[in-house]
Amino acid sequence: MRVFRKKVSLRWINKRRRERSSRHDKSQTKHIPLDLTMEILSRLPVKSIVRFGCVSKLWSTLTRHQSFINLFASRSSSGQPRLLVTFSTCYKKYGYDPLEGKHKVLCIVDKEYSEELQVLTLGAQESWRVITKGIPMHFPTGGLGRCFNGILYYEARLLGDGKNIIMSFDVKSESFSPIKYPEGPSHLMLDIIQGRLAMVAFCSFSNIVDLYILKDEDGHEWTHQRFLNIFGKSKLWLEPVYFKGITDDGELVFAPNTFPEPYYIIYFDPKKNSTREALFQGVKDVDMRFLHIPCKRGWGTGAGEPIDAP
Amino acid sequence: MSESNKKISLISSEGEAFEVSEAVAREFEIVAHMLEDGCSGSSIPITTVDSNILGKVIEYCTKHVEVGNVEGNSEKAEKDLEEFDKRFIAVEMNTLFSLILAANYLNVKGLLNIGCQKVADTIKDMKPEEVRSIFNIENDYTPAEEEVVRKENEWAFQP
Repeated sequence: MRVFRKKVSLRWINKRRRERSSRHDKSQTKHIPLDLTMEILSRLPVKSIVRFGCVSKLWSTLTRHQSFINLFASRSSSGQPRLLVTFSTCYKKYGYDPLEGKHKVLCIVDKEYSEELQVLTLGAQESWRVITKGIPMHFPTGGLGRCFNGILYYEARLLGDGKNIIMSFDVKSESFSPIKYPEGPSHLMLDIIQGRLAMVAFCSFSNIVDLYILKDEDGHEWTHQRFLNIFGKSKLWLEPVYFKGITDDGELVFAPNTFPEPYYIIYFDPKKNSTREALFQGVKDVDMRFLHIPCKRGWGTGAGEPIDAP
Repeated sequence: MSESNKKISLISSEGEAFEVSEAVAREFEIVAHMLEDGCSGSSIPITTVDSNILGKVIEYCTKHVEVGNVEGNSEKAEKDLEEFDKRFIAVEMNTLFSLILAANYLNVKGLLNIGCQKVADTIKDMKPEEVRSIFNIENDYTPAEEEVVRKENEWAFQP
């Protein structure tokens, strides 16, 4: 590397500057071009960015523009922790902290990038708080999420390497910890089986169930069990059935998405490798796709009530 | 004259010459490119930057070249440089904007970086009205439209 000696006289520069300062102060506010405006705004926390959408229509458009979001994301992943942006969509997850008896809503603002999230504690003084510390850059990939023992779990993707993970959120301490996704099928559904995190893959055509259960939260190790032909020779399912959830007793629940007439709900016990059925007294035109949990105690789903045990 | 002693004159918009070492001039990426392209005349016009701001940018680059040339005690040097940056960038908003524009034009990345960060830190907690006046932006929302946008993003207005 070449070494150069300093040649400029700072004293001389400072003298020059003083001579000119009075003239300079009179000048008008400089016009900042859009690319520099974006440079500046991308260094702000998301709360300020959202607030400054009110500055002008141009700024509102600018801060929602994909190139701005990219800039913002690149800055967050490369240096100081900052932002997350999603102005259009808000994923809400509900969690319960049994120790303090508090219900909280986690709102992940942004379709794609999340670093700054909001938490609403339900109660006397409800207000959204933005949390910024210790949040891995991730965005939720859908699914309902589950809350168990004060930990909220939901599927997400890490921003850096694009890996699928399960994000765990401690409702009490409001801390995040990613859990490694089990290797294998990609379309897994998340649930809790007898106090442990479980992922279930079910193919209604091949009649195969893959059940992954998390051994321990720290080791990120999953056990894998595969069950073939769980519905045996039963002819009940002329219509395809779907995985709907896991009961408190550890049974996997399967049901069709629509109930055009009285139908059966199938319970599969992986411990005993046995199947039982319950007759559902059909409710016409009810879309069951979103009835993920007609099987948990204390979840009054209405449509899930009229079940007659065989 | 050996290369290390070579001096370059940078000419401000007012026609004033600032004589600097080639190392400092090369901190201006735009100048470095000119030199590499063989435009190695002894004076380079910087027509969009006035003397006041050009002097400041040279001061910034000089300090950074100086510290970059000191061997050893790098931790202390880094701290000193951080302190220098902090003091250097603590200027009123108009000067700050001029420095950012100059750093952008001359492609002095370090200065552009601390300048943009300083503006962001300054406006972070401000109201939209204050930001409008700083950036000289006209509010093109009707009062009704602005009310709607504020309502939609109410959380962002809470302390």
